Amino acid sequence: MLPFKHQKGLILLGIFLALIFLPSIIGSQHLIHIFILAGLECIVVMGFIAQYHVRLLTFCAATFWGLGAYTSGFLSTKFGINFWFCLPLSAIITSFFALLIGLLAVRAGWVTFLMISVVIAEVFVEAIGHIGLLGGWDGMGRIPRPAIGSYVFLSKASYYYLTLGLATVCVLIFMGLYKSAIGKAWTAIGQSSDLAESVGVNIFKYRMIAYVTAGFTSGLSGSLYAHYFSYIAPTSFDIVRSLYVSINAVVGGLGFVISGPIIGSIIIRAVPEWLRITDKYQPIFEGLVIILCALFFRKGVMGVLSKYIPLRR
Amino acid sequence: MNCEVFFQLLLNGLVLGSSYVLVAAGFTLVYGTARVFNFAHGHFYMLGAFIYGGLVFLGVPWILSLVIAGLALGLLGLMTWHILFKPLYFDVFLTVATSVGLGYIMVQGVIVTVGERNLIVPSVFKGVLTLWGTTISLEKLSIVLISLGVMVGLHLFLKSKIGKALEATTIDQEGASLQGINPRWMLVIAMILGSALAGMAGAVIVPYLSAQPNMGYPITTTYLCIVVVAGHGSLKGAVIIGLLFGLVKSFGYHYLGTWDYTIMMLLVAIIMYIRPWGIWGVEFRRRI
Repeated sequence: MLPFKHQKGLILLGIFLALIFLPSIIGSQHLIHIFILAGLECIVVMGFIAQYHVRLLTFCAATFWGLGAYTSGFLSTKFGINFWFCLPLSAIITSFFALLIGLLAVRAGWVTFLMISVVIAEVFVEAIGHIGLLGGWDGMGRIPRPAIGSYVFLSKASYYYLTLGLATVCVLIFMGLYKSAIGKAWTAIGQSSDLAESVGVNIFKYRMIAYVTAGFTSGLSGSLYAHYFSYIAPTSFDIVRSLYVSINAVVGGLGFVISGPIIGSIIIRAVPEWLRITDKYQPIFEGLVIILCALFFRKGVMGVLSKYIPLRR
Repeated sequence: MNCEVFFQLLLNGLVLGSSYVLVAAGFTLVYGTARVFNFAHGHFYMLGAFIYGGLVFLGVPWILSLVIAGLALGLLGLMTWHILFKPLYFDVFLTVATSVGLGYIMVQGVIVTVGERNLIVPSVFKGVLTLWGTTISLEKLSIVLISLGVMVGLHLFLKSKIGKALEATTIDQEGASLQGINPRWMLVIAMILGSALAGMAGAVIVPYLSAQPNMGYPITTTYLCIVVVAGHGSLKGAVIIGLLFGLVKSFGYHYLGTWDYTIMMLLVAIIMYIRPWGIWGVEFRRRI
C-alpha cells in the first residue's frame, strides 16, 4: 500500500481528472447543467463553512451571491463592460459590502448576528424588487455570455470548464487560507473563542477575514451565475436559497471545509435527478436528508467516506 | 385625516398584530425557555390554519376546531422536541438546520396533499357593528377578541405554579433546578405550549388571511424580528412589539406604499445594533 501522503494526492488527482473529462463521459446536456449549478453553489457553501468555522452563523449566504450576480449583470448590460472585468469588479464590490456589514455586525453576539443576517437577506430582496433600474420584481435579462475574442462560451460543456476553473481558484484560495496562520487562528476560534481570545488571537480580525473572503468568493460565483442564466430575479436569492446553502453544508459535512461543500452540493443537486424525484417531492427529499444527516451522520457524507478513504479536510 | 379610514386601519393593524402576538409569544416561550431556534414555528402556524379550515369545512364548531388545532400542534411540538431537538440540543446550528428541513417537509407535504392554492375559510361571525358612525366588521373584531382570550388564558396559566416554574427556568436553569424544578419537564412544557400557540394563531387569523402553504415564510421573519426587538423570553415585550408591528404594517402600507417592509426591517436592524439583547430582554449567553 502506498504511503498516506501519496494516496491522498492520487485520490485528489483522480477526482480532478474525472471532473475534467466529465462532459465527454456524460453525454447528457442536462447533467452538465446540474454539475455547473453544483459547482457554482459549492463556492458559496465553502464561504458559508468558512464563516461557520469561526462560529458566525449566517443566513445571508445567497444574498452575497445575488449581490455579485446583480453587480455583474448591471455593469455588463447598462455599461457594456466586458465579462472579464465584471468578474473581479463584482467580487470586489461584494466584499466591500461584506466589509461594511461585518464592521457593524460581527462584533455583536451570535444571536444578533444571525438576526441581522436574516434582516439583510429580506431587505436585499425587497430593495432590489423596488429599484426599477435593476429590473425590479421582473428581474434583469439579456446578460451576455462571456467571450474570449470571437469565441463565446455558449455550449454547456465550455461553461462547465469555466465553472470548474473558477471553483478551482476558490478551492485554492480557501486551501491557502486554511493552511496559513489565518486558518490556524480560525480553527482556534472555532474550538473555543474564549480560549483563543485569552491567548491573544484577535477574534474580530479573523472573523472579519472569514466574512470578507466569503463575500469575495460568493461575488465571483454570483457573477458567473448571472452570465450563465443571462436572466436574474430577486426572488432567486431569497432566504430560502440561503437555507439551501446551509443544507448543502450539513450534508457534505461541517468539519470538512473543502471536500464537504463539493460533495454536498453534488449530492443535493444530482441525487434527486438520478432518482428522478419530481420538483414536487424535492423539498421533502431535502428535508429528510438533512434531518437524517443531523441525527445519524453528524459529520456528513464526508465523515462516512473518510472512514474508508484516507482523505482529510 | 379621514376618521373612517383611520379606524379601519387601526382595526386591520390590531387584527394583524394579534396574530403576530400569538406567534411571537409562542416562539418566545420556546426560545426563551428551551433555547432552541425553531425555524419551523411559522410552518406550525400554517398547519394550524389548515387544520382549523379543514375542521370548519367538516362542520365542527369553531371553538372546538380552535382547541383541536392547538392540541394537534402541541402534539407535533412534543414530537419535534423528542425526535429532533432533544438529541441535537448541544449544537445550535444543527437544531436550526433540522428545523429548516422540517419546515420544508411540512410546506411541501401540505402542497402535495392539499394543492398549492388558497383555502378560503369563511368566518363564523358575519355582519357589521356601527359604533359612533364607524362600521366595524364583526369578523375582524372576533379575531381580536379571540386572540385576547387566548392571551388571557396564557396569562392565567403563567400565574399558576407550573407557569411560575416555567418563568424561573427561563431566567436561570441552574437556579431553578436548585429550587427543585426539573428543567427538562419545563423545556417540554414550553415547547408544547409554544407550538400550540402557533397553531391557535393560524386558526384565529385564517378567516382574515385565507390559508396557503407558503404563509409560514413571511411570518417567520416577522416573529424573529418581534422577539429580538422585544427581548428573548419576554412575554410582555412580545405583546407590545407584536401589536406595534401590526399597526406599523397596516398604517405603513397605507402611507408609505410597498417600501414599508424595507423601512421597518432597517429600523429593526438599528434597534438590534443599539440593544442586542432587546428592549425588555436580559443578556443571553449560550456559547456556540
